[in-house]
Amino acid sequence: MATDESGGYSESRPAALFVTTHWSEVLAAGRGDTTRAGDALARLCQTYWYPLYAYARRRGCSPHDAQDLTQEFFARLLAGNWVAKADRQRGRFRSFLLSAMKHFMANEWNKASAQKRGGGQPILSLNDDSAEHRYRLEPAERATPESLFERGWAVTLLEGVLARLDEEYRRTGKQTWMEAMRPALTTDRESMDYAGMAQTLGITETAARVAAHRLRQRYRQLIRAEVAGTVASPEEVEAEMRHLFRVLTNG
Amino acid sequence: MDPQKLCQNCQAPLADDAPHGLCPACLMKVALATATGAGQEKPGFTPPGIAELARKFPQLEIIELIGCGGMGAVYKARQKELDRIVALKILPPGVGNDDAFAERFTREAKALARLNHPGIITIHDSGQADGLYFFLMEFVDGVNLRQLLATGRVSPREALAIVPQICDALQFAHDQCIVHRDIKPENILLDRRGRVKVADFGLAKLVGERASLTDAGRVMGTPAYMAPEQARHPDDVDHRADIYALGVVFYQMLTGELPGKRIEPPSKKVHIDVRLDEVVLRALEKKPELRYQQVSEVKTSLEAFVPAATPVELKLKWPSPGKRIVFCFDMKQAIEDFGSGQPPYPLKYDIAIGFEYAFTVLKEVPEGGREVELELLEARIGTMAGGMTWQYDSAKKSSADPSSHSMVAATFGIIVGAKVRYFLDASHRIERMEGVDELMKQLKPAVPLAQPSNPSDPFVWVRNMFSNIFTETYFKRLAKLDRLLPPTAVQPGDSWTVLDAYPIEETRGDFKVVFQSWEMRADRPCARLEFQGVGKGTVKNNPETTLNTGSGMVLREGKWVEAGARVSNSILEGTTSGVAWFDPELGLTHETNAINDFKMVKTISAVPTENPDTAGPAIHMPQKLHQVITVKLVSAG
Repeated sequence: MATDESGGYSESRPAALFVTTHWSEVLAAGRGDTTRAGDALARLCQTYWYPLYAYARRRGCSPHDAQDLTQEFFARLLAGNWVAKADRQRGRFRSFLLSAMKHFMANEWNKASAQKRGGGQPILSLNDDSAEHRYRLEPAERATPESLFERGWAVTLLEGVLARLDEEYRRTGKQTWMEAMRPALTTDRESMDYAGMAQTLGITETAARVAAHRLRQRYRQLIRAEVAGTVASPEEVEAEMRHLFRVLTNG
Repeated sequence: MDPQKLCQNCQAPLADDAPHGLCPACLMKVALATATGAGQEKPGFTPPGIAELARKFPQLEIIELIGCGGMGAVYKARQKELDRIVALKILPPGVGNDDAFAERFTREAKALARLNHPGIITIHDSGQADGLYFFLMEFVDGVNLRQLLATGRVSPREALAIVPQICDALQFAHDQCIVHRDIKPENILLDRRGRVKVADFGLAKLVGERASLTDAGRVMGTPAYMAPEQARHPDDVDHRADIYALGVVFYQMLTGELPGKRIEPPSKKVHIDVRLDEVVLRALEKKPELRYQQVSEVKTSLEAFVPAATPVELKLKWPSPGKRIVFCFDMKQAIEDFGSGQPPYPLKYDIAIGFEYAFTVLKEVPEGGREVELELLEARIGTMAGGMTWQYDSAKKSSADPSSHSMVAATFGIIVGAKVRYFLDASHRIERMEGVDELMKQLKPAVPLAQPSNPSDPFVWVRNMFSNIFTETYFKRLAKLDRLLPPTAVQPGDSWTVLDAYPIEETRGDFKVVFQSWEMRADRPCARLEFQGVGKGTVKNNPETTLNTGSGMVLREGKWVEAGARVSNSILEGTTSGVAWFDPELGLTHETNAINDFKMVKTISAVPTENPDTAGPAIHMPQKLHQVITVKLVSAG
């Protein structure tokens, strides 16, 4: 292979940089008592705590309470065997998390909060300021707590994927490329200004197309891998993505 | 929510938490869209799994399956020894399980391994591993043309950057008597720099012949790209079948579609240079003998369409002193005169007028002005009006009916050869002229006045020609055209608007100009500028000098007589449209074709004439005017 560094991510980059967390692994572990499944769950929680925070806020919790609640919820989730109890269904992590949270808020939160206050190490490094700041940006008017949770989920997922994509391009010194080509991730193929992109990057129009194509390709790989980490089986990826698309368009 | 921010794509308001400023819904939509182009072909077999291949190829680390089609499956792999990424192509299992095939495979592989060309995928190794025939090839880190086409319409400029590279690769192979036989977008790869690499030379023959025994329909090439003779006699094709397939690929790149049964020229479908039609259609000739005979000829034909890689400035330049610029000006106009509305109105006139003349910059004045000399080389005129037809051509000294219009013929006979000197200011405006007065003095005694005209100066129209018509095509227009040229560097596809320009006469209107493409004119790459404008304005005719509009002559009982009144002020409105080929290097327009359509919408004032026969309110004026103007640069010394 030619060592052509004119665009895209490099082939020599370590392939395993994308550490996928596997909901299916957690499920497979059944009782959730293996270290690996525990780690996987912890990683999922670290990524997706914000949608729960937003849910709690919309349900009427104060910022402080919402933070406490989220912390406590995750502490219980990671320590206990809720996963095993989660009807042992091969569900999606997103649905599981929301139903577990609902259950927690309805049945255990008051008790838990009473016990929790004044002691214990936080499970997650929640930055309350940034969470609250983000919450205030949420579209406020019509959103139900559930729709806010789902929208927050989808945006969190996209953020993670874009951050990884950025990281890959940055690592190969292609940050300028990423900046110039980012519109390719949301723009209809027909309306892409490849000529303008080519001019910005000082490459041919065809090279710009190739680069944009590769960017989209890599983006799709990453997002599919990320979604795959939150569903029980690969067959569900497509349906989950469609669901998230609906969530985002209706939101 | 900031109401100002909208998604550029779906126009929905962009939420403040939009990741990286991108619309989340559109992000998800793009994620959902399957990349078209991949896996278009149904493989005729199940490609072996990675683990299975790894066992057969211990020297390779098989990374992933990257493509699969009738001709086999391709995997990305790493050669452990060399730490080199390669493409492993395996032929469909079962394609050859006899000695005859093995021998032929070896023979073909040897020939293919000799194809060392930057535009052709290099074959590193080939052979048989545990029953599987394989090629180990150069890995191209890019996309194939099918995938590229799926990223949106390819501009003609881009197609013109890609096709010549395919021509080079094919010509190289054809020179070694290797015919590809299966040129299609999937086999044309583009690396990260946009460079072409043609894959799978000769594979169709190798795999196809064998597979045809059992599975003819599936692997015999790709029907849409197949030359007619290849479909009929697959065993008996030559390199011209590749030229046909290239024609199909080219057609598809330009139009986004495959050519139909009756091939419609690409320019009928998309806005491209019509001359590209010729190239595409010739490559697509059904009979091989009518096609290009060598693929290199396709490339040569395309070289005329030099696409500029970067935007260029289109600026007018004056030729250096001493350079002689020769123009040929032709104008045809059809006038419909409604006059009083009573017979003989409406009258129709057709006038064709043409000149050839040379400009030479004699001197440049430090402040930016110039002295320019005009030499009138040829003049011709032909008219058809009210049943009378006549013509004059100084080159032929011909006059069909000299008696009736000898004045014009005689005048032209004298003024041809005249030299007039112009003194121009820095904005190309005429400060004064020298030589016209002398010319006028010559005309008076030499030309018999065949008809009454303006008694004060019967040759006033001659002066008008020198001060307006000739200069109009060059330096006067320079001032106008200057405004039509873009303010910044441009490339094909760019368009701009020129506000308050002059479509016709004194009218004002906005022009829209589009830089359509690069085209050759007189062997020079020129920017094809298409312009369109609508204008309206008051035209103040000086009754003394007006030639075309309101000439003041009326046809009465077969004779031209002076009209009772001449329009002095009127409102004209109309449109102009046309094409100009601008040569940026020369800083001149090589050719301009314009069509003006205008009409007088209102007469503001008229001046009565002294002719008692026609005195009265009847105002004679061209009411509708259709002009076709062509200005060509004959030479630029």
